[in-house]
Amino acid sequence: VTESAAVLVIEDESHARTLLQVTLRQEGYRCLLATNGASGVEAALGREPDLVLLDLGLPDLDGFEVTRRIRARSAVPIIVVSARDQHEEKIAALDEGANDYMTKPYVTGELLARMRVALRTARAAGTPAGTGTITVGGLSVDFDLRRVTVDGAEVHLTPTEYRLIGTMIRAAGRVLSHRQILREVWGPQFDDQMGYLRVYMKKLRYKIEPEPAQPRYLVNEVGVGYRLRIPG
Amino acid sequence: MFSRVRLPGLLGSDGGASGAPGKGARGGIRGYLGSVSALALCALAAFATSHTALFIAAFPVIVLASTARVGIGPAVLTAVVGVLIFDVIFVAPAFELTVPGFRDALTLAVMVAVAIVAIALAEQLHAKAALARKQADVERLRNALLSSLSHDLRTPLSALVQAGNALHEDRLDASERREFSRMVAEEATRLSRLVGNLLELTRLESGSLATKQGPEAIDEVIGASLVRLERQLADRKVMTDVPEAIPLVPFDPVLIEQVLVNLLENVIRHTPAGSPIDIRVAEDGRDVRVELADRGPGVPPGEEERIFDKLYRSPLARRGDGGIGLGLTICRAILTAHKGRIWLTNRPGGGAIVTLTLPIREGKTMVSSPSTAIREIES
Repeated sequence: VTESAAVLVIEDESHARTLLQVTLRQEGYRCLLATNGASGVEAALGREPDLVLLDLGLPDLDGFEVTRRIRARSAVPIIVVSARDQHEEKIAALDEGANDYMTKPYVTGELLARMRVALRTARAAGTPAGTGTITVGGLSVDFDLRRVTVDGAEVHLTPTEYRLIGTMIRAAGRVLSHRQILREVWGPQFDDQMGYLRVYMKKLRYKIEPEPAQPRYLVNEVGVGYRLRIPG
Repeated sequence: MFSRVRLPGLLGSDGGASGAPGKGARGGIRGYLGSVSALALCALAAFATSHTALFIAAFPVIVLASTARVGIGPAVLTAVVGVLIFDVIFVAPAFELTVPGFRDALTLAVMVAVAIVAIALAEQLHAKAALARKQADVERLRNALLSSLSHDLRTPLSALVQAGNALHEDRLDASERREFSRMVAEEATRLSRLVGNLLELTRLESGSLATKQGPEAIDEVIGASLVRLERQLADRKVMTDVPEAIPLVPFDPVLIEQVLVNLLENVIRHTPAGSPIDIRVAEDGRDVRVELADRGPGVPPGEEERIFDKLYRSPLARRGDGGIGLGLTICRAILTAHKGRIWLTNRPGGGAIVTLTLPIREGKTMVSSPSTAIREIES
């Protein structure tokens, strides 16, 4: 039996904190609490949680700053929880390396699902990038043979499309910001070229999605980035 | 790319829709005839009684009355005719257009000045009156909105307070507890949707909404809205028809997604459970066009435009279904901000089709000729 995962909740609002605490305990997680950004960063680095739930709009530090300080010394998965009007701060936190986000109000089941994905991805990390095969639902990328298949059928991709699908599937289940994808696929000097991303994401979708306008895998997180969804 | 877009006021603050009063509209031929003949009558009376002062005294009154009652056009004509009459009849020699002497010239100048001041003053009054009328309209609408909102906000709130207290006091049996918790969840969801729409409205109303209009793929945003409503759409067959060659167009993806979600939520609320939805995308070189067709009751003939009005509720909508008649108004405001359009037609064979268009503008080149930079990277 593995020890239950520890989740650090950084949230200044006491009701929201209590609700999360009760929910997380019921799900078998250990729960650590921090009520502001500074103590949150300290707990994230000192008590080594398995996951951080970071609420935006803390009294002392913004989400970008908290994420930056944690990321400087730790790879712990961070899920940002935000209201709708904190769009920019949320994107800044994702650019800085937060793994995912939830927009309030959310359904508890969805948060738990995102947490499971983040924890699983964190455990799987450590396999060298660019080798082996990653399979998500019917989609499979073989990094050794540079082969992409959908439901067993090989799909022919251009080099850019291949790099794009590789980037997305290595982060399966997580949201990647536009900027992160552009840096990874095209290079840092192209990180504001949204047009490239739109054009290639579209080409890719028409090649691997059975119904491109009702995507099964490559989901657009409107205004934020893309996520390769894990079906089911 | 950021551009600040002035949105058409949702609460009626948009200018000039009702036509500024005092310009032509009220005048007509009768206005011109009335003003000029009143002046002619005065001239006749003054001439017959040899009282030039009578005409000079009556002139500003008639010009003023004409501006106030029938409009600028007639007033200007009256003033011009008045000045001519004065010159022709009352400036000696009579019945000749003459270059007047100093005294008469002074009188003429005063008449012209009086006419200009009268007309300008009246115009100002008109503008003020129009503004006051518009403000009254806005006020009425705001009140209607507030009363509708306070009802729609209080209903779920009171259910929440009651159910919450009952659960807290712990005097319910197991099935009641389940029922009450379900109520809490449902009412809270409804409240959250209401507040969401309300925030959207305030953002649009503030008129300073920054729309991010980069090149965007409409099919992506359609896909995202379908994913967002996945649970509610689980029992429906959604057909999407998007040609691959649809160009990227500049729009704010967050706002257009909101439009699509509003439209789909309408379909979910107003059409039979399980009935199919068709989404078709097409382009004609000028616009990208999205058609969303359902198999519901459609809208009563003649109501196709009214349903976009603020606070319009379909007579077919159930009271308390969570709608407050803002969804389509918000949709139209968003499309207008994009220089696009949105309208509704009834579908032959039953149901409604909502069509929205987004202008292609410079976005077109994005797909048909990927920039050289992209080709360089590709090779």
